[in-house]
Amino acid sequence: MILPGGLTAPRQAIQKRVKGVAQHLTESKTWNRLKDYCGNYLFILPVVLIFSAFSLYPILRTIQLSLFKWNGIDPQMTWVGLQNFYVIFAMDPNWWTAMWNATKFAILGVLVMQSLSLGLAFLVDRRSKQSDFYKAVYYIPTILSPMVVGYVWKWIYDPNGGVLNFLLDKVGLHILTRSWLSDPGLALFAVSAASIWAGFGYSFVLFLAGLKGISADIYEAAKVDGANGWKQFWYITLPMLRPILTVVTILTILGAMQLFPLVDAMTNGGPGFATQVPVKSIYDECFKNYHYGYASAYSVIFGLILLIISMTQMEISRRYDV
Amino acid sequence: MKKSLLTVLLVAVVLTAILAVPFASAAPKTITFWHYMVDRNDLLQSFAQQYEKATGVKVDVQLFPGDQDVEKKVEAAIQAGTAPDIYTSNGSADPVKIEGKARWIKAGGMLNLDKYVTGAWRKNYIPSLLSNISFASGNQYGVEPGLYGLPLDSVNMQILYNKELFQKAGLDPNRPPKTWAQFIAAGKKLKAAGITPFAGGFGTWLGISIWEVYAWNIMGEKGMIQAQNNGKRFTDKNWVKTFQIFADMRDAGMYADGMATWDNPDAERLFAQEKVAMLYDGSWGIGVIKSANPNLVPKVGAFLPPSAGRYPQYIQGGYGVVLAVNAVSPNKDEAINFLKWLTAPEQQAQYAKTSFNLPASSEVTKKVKLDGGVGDFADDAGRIIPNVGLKGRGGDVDTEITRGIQSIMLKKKTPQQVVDDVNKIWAASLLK
Repeated sequence: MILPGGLTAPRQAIQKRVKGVAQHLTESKTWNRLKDYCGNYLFILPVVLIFSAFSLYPILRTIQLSLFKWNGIDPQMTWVGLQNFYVIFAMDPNWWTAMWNATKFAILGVLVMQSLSLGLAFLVDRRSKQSDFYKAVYYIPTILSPMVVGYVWKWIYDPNGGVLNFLLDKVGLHILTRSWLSDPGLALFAVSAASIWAGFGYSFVLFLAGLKGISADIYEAAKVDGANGWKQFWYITLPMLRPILTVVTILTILGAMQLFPLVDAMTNGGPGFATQVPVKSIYDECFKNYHYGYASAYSVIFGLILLIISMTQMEISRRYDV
Repeated sequence: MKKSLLTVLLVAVVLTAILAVPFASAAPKTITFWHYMVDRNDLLQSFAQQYEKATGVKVDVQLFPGDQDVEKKVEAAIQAGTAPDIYTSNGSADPVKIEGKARWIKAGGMLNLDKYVTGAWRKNYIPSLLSNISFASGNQYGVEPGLYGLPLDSVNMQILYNKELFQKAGLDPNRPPKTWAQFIAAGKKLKAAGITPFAGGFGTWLGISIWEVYAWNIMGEKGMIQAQNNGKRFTDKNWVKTFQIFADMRDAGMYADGMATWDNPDAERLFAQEKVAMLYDGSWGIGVIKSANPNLVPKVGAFLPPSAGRYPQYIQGGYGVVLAVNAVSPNKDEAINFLKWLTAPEQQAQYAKTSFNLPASSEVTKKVKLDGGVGDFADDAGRIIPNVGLKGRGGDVDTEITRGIQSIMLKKKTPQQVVDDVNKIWAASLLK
């Protein structure tokens, strides 16, 4: 029997059946895909919720607060738009002093701490038998509370009976004794030295790991080619450490920019504003002066600066395939 | 079998719960008491035991060290509605702190005690101390007028001096300086004798504390009101003189080396080690010296910051530790009963004798004999800066003043520059 469309009856039935099966398959495929999607999202839901509650919400709330004048406890907040930002940029010289001080801390951290930790890592790498011992010794300051480090160094610098002046006096360098933390020209360097002491262990360990990753064969080959120690360091060690150097540099900058407990313990931001740093300014505005909106505006600006630094880090890491 | 076991267990749990209810309600009522005084924790715990024995009400005394930290903890607890039934707070007539208390009151964290503290209970107190923790009608903070706390002790701030070091420098140990010129001359004499003349924790709040004494002394009440309440700020040229005192002391070589970044304990330590002749500190300083160097206590005297202006010479001080009751506490009545017991003269006398702090009760001050420097402090309890309803300058303005004083001490700024900088920050502060 010929049916319209030129198909025979059994063929049509078969085709109908195939269509049905195909539709069923498509439907079940969609269902499976949906199930997969839901399953996947269900797995990441806790992380999304935790991120939203503890990161996203505070960030959005800070941005919102930066547009208000609020003392932190009154139910009423006053909308001021961008006024807080205007006051920061146009009327608050202390914010810029704090930013400049943070930049100085970052520069000192990068130059001094990086050189120190890289140099020590290089020396320890050469004496591989004691490397575990040195790793532990150099890392100890890193695990100490910054407040403890601050008070210890404050005692070291104490002009009346502090260890530093005592030692200088004993070795006949009395002329160098001074009030390390009360001298506006020295206070920042003194705090920076304490910060470097407390933090260099971390970059030391990273550098040491990087140095251990460089094959000894490369150095052997260079030696055969007549490269001396300096050339080996300049043409082999440094280029091969570049990825770690990049990461450590950015981490040092971020760490130095966010310095706070050490400053609080050692100088309270003084003398004058010689060691004032942005995080201390934010803390003071929020919890001492009760300018929650203004402190939030500080935080937004400072957060953006840190974001730019972090994005630079990511871009550099991407370029050098770190 | 399993099902029946489960049923039996369930019935047992329900029965236990029902039977436990009368016992639970018979358990002693507990009130929570937060405080920050590490040195007086044992004393307060012993008071709590005495109180439980006398009344059957248990007082859960919880210590949170650090007078500044506990303020933030209380503030956070008030915000969250989890404040304790009764707590200690610190402060003085400092407008910033008064403003802070106003916020706590509005949030229900401090109970108006006016209708509770009456008659003999109220009369027991030095009136000026109560005025510092009271809000008058029509106050600028919009707070319901009344008394919002009771002082556990009182403090005032003067200049402690080491009589022995004074004598070594050829100064009369029993006639401390009274005028600014005498003070500077004494400083120079001490310096010439190789003795460090003066110390104070000017890295934190001590600098602005003594500056305020001279602000009242040089500008008077009218000047203070003009600057802080009438929006004039430091435009009057005489404000420069209030900062000039720090330049005078610097030029006389009076400052201890490094004190521009010191906190109070650093300065107290130096004084206790007998390495400095004078210390700007509070009455509590005697207790600190006693614990560090008991032999020094009989050699210590106290004198008022010498006058440098033409207005009355007031000093910093007021209540030391204040007790406040949480207005929204379900145990409010029990907390008030405990407050009444703790501030009664018997307990106050025990507190003053044991803790070496000045009593807040005038009756106890008459009864308890206070020796040496503590007696000098007690004599001047009536000279505390009056509460005239000054508006707060703002914490950022006070920071600028503190840092400005440090800059003058280190010759980095002139008094005039500091006045100009403070005015700039003050203008910005009004917009924050």
